Amino acid sequence: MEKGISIPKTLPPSLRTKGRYIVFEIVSEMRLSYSDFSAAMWNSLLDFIGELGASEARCWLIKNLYDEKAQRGVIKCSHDKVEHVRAALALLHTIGDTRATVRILGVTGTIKSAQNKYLGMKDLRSFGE
Amino acid sequence: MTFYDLHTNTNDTIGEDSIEDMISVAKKMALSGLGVVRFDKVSKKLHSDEIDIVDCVMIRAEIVDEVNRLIQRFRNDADVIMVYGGNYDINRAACENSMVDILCHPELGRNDSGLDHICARAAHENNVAIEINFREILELSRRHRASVLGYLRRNIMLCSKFDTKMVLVSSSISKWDLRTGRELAAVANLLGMDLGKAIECASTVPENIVKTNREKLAGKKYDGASLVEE
Repeated sequence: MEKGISIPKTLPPSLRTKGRYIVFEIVSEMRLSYSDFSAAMWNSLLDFIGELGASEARCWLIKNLYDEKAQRGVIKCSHDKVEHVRAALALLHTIGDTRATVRILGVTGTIKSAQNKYLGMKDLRSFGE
Repeated sequence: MTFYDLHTNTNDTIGEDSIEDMISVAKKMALSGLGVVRFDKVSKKLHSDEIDIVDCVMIRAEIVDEVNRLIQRFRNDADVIMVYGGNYDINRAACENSMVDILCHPELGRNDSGLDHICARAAHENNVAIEINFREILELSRRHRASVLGYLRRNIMLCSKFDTKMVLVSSSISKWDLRTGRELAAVANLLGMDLGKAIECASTVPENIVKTNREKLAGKKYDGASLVEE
């Protein structure tokens, strides 16, 4: 047996929960940091859909895709709770100390398509086109 | 898709921001039309080349006779006639008057939804749309928000039952309160409205109200008949 901390194996695709990636843009008076937005998002989610709903939504604000300069980012959530997360984001009006509103740019099934379609990141295959 | 928000307030009335600020954020929110509400005393009409500005008059009165008098006065002047709801008698009078386009926030300041099956049926027969007001949800929290969500859910159920028109509006008093039609549709969907219908209530329903009224004001359309040019 291998030494060290053992972790469970990755589930096969048929047993994994289906996710969706919500690409958003923040319209605000000042630039907002990842931590400010994350705190505001979780407050809004817990206020609107509650602890049980938030646990079912399996929300995750992806840190390395949050662009502080462009004020854009990606939230991963469960595929059947996209409308709940949309509504909770629509109910955000103050983030930190600044007035702000969140606009959803689109919803995708993979991170790759979120990057290609909405975040302006290209993969190597696009150079051949 | 063209989204319309027919209820916004600028600093000419009760809002905080100027029309220019509202238009700049509305463009970011991909809105095609913005309904700028004026109360009956203010008579300043606005125009923009960037976005379709809809002239909406809000009728606000304490008694039913006053409501009917003001509707008669402004019908030929405004693109959209809205009635300030909240009082049950006013709500019912608005639903029974075919000159009214939208009944705003029938549940405002009440401990019930402000509508019953009689109002919903009358609104359907007279082609009056019921407003689903987003600002009421946005500004409240916890217990009060839960109550208002319950009243809106009931109004949506009644309107769906009697096939009454509904419009989704942000009712913003600041540029930061503006939301895209798709976000308003997501909230309405969670309150029991079918998602496709919710998207229509933020796009084609308000657009058709504006289009029909403008044709009537221009003399191109009458009740039941349209003027066709050859």
